[in-house]
Amino acid sequence: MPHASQQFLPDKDLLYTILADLKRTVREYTTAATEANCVAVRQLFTDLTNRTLTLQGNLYYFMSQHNMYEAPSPVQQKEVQKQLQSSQKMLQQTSQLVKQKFAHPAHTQQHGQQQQASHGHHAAYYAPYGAHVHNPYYTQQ
Amino acid sequence: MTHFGGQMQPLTSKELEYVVDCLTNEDLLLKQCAAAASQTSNQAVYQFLTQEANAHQQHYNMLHESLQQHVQLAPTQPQA
Repeated sequence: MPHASQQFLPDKDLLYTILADLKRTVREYTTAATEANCVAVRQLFTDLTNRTLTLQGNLYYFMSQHNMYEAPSPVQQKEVQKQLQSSQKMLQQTSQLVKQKFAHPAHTQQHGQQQQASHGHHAAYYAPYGAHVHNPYYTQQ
Repeated sequence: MTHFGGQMQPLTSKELEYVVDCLTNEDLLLKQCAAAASQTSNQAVYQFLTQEANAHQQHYNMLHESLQQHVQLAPTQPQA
């Protein structure tokens, strides 16, 4: 190993270039997984996304532990509070809309007898799509 | 490593391009780790990069193995 003064780049810069490439690689694996047709290929890209995310996290942690990466300063509490209130308002409005939409779906408008059965459908909105049936594209985390 | 044995389908052109791009990414990351390890005077950094390089070698092998598994499934004539 060469003396520090002979390095063409400091450790911090060398590791940062790897960190940046890991971030890019995670994005590419994620995109590849979403566009895969073969179930085996999708699973391979999903596994590699997770493994590369772990590598990126480990490198970030190593750099921060060795004072090579300074985390940005924390945001003020009032700013978090503001966003929290905004988020609660949005959630209330969306919940109301979701409830209305699922309670009166278009496919039951002409068939009064199905109206009753449609209540409660919105619960499925929160479940992973197709998780209850055989779905080779669904990965249990 | 076999993923979902029996559910393999021929690679689409998009999948092949992604596998090839990802092989290049892993190859580059492996080389970057080796180059950085050869430069550092910090033992902890050297050890970290050694492990990281092993992981990228493994990833490369997984992608390469997937290509090998799909060779036999690929049609030999252009498909409609």
